[in-house]
Parts: sequence; structure tokens; C-alpha cells
Amino acid sequence: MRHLKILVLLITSTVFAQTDTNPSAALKNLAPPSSPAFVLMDLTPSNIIVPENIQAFSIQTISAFSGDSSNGLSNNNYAVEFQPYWYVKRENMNFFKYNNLKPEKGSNEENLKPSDYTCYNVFGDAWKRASVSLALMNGNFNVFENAQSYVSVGARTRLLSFKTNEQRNAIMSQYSAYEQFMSSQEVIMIFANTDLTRPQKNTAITNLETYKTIADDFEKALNRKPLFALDVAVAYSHFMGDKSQDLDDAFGRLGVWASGDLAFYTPTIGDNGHIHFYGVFRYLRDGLNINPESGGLRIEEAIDYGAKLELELDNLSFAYEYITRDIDNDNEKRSIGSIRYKINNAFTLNGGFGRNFKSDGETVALFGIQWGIDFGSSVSLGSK
Amino acid sequence: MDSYQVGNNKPIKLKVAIATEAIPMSYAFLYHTIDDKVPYAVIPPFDPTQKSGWKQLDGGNEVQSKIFRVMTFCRFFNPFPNEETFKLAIKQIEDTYKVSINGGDEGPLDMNFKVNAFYEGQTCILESELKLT
Repeated sequence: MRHLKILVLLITSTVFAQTDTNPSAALKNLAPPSSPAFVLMDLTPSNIIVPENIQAFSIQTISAFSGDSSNGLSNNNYAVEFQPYWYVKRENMNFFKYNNLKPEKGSNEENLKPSDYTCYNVFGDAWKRASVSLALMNGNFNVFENAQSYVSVGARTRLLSFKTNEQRNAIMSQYSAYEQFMSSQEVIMIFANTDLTRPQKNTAITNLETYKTIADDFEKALNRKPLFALDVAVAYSHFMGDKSQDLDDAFGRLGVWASGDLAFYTPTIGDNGHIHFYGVFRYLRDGLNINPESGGLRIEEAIDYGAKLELELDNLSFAYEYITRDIDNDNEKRSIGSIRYKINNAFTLNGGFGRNFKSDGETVALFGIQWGIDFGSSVSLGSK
Repeated sequence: MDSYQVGNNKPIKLKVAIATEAIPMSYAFLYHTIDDKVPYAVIPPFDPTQKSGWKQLDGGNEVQSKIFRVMTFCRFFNPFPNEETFKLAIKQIEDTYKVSINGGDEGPLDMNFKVNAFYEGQTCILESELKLT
């Protein structure tokens, strides 16, 4: 029955994505459920997540398909996540700095060449990719008989990353090719033409075959994942209590974790094909445990460690993760396969199937949907 | 159209400043009249984030009674997760873009500009124009 429900949702979601139906603007900023505030509660399809291409502001939701899932999740689980980077004015920002490339010390700042950018800032992503999240959740998490409410806050970022010399050289080479083309007589004449409006000039440039080829190659070079990246996150979830059951609000769960991603570019399986080997370490202080003697809640400390293997194709990725939780004298495991399919730029499906912590061997199904649907192809800004 | 009094001064100079994650390319043209279709002088295209110094108009010659136009084309190569994030990147461009002209009787002047942004192709175009008197 559960698999039937999954199939029905997949089909209806796909059909919806291909129609011209305009969802409400409130759905515009929904994103895949990957914020630390969700990950802390083991709600996400994958517990090993990377802070990549996060929306400046997003709303995330996640649901289980049935009330008898291990977490007893209801459909009222929402998180908001935002990246402060995009809301703060960036001084001296340029393309190279954004991509962590630095000129050698002593270079002429007024007349830089691509070949001057020989240094790499391994901490360059820490501020750019930092995000803060806040979540409201409802579930029993195998602790309570009825679903209870929790409020979570979290933060994550990419602490360090490293690109190889070959990856850096490819970016500098693509920049030179682009700059050379954009300085050609063909392009200059389009910009100089007073008969064309700005949108017409933009169309004339972006429709040039050479432009398309160079831009495509450039994007491929930039989209290559760093050889290694270390992501870190912290989150805290507070149990809100339940007066009807005489439960006071209490410490919920605190987690601090780090995950390393070793990514190998594999163009033979796709233009953006990568094989990822992840390792994860997480410290957890978990207050969501019933004390069998008193019947109240008690706090346990746990260490999670595990690994994940992911095959990333252009729009599709398959992954399997195995995480062990050392908790007091017990040992719990999370063994989950996950799949992510990007139907188009506006619609992505995320699913996870397997065995979660505290699930007593039951199979669980977690599902998240991104509805990041945008309207219109351009924005027109007034004069200044 | 705004105007700038250059008198018989020379050289008149241009400076473009911008702070953006995109690659900007700036183009500057001089026309004899407002109706001209083809410029008579062009400053070689440049990336203002890499070549941030002053550039002479028409090789340092007098440019009195001319029409001066500056265009900057920005292309983002890093992907955006959605249009809202793209708009914030465009706002950064608006907040930091500065086209300055100097050398005339009035001293330095920041030129006004208009912007069109195109999410589909991750580009935007900024345009300024000035009558040099």
C-alpha cells in the first residue's frame, strides 16, 4: 500500500510539473528539505547534506506517507532557511573572488590578468554558503504516544573546499575565451547599434552560436565540484511540551556535525557526472528519551558516524548512506537509500527509503518536494 | 539626456566600478550626434573589476559636442537556485555600479544608468548616456 502511495504521488507530481498550472506565489520559495533544523530530527531523505546552491530564502516541508512511520510525522513540518550573504552588500566582489581565486600578492590591482589568479582561498565558501534555518515540527519520534511539537534552529556552511590546479586553470582559460569573444568586433557592433533596445541587444548577443558554446563550456567548468569539501552544521530542537499530557517544555535535541565530500568528476556518465564519497561525524545530545523508571524524559549523548556513496548524474542522483549511532550501551543504525530527480528548474523530487534510527527494523519512507516555481523570464528595473 | 560640460578640456576620462559575482564587460562609444547609428570612437571593451583605472575618451582628443554612451553587460556563470536569489544579485549590481566621467569644467560626475535584467540567460545590461557640451 505504501509503495502504491509513493507511485501515485510521483505520477501526479510529474503531471502537475508538466502543466501550465500556476501555483500560488506562496509556493515560490519552497526548497528541498535539507536544512539542519530538519536533519537534526532525522527527518530528511539524507542525513548527509551539502550546503550547495541554497536559495537566498526558502520554505521547506517534509511529510511521511503514513501515520505509522517511525517518527509518527504529521503533515505540519515546515522550515525556513535563508542565506545572509545575499542580503548584505559585498565590497570588492568579483567573479574570481566569488569562485575563491585570488591574485598573487603584489599584483597590479588596477590591471589584473586571469593568469594573476594563481592562489585559492580554501575558506572562501564559509560566508557565501552560510545559512540559518528555523523549523516547526510535529511528530512522536517513537517517544510519545501522540505527535508533539518542536521548534528547531540551525545553521550550516561549507567550512573549506579545495579545487585542483586543473580545475582552476580550466576556469581561467574559460574566462579568457569569454573576454576575448566579448571584445570581438561582432559583439562591439551589437552594443554600438543605437537602433537596438537593451533587451534586443541582450537577445542578439545571447543568440550568437559562439556565445552559446563559450557560455556552455564555462558553466560546465564552474559546475565541477571541488575535489574535497568540508561542511559543518549545528542545530537545536526544543520540545514544546503538552499540557494535556502534563508534559512541560524541555530540552529536545542538540547536534553538531561535519561531513566531508570527496568528489570525482566522471564526464563519461554525464556532463555534470560525479561520484561522491562522503564521511559524516555528528555529536548528539538527545533529550527525547523516556526514562523507564520515572516515565519522564532523560538526556542521552550519542556519536553518529557513517558514510555515503552517491552517484550524481545531470538531473538524477542515487545514494546510499549508512550511519551508526553510539548511544550509551546501545547501538542504532540508519540505513537509507535516497533518490533525487530534478524534473526541471522549478521542480525537484527527493525521496528516502530504508531503516531510520529507532525504527525497529521497519522500513520508512520520507519524501520532500521542491516547488521553486518562478514566473516570467526577466525582470526590468527602473532607472537610477 | 543629461549633459556634462567638458569645454575645451582634454583628455576626458571614464571610470567604471562594480562589485558583482558576474563577469561584467564595459563598452564606451562616442557619436557625433544623437542620431548617429555608428560611433566614431570606441574604448576597447574591458572588465571593470579587472581594469579599474581611468580610460581616455577618443585617445585623449577633445570631445566637445559629442554624445557619449557607456554599456555594461553582466553574465552570471554560477547557477542560481531561483529568481529571487538572482534579483538579489542584481540589486548588488545596482547598489555598487558607478560610471564616472572626469576632466571637464565640472570635475568628476557620476552618470545615471538604466538596468534590464534577464533571469533566463542570467544576464543584465546597464546603460548610461551623456551629452558632452
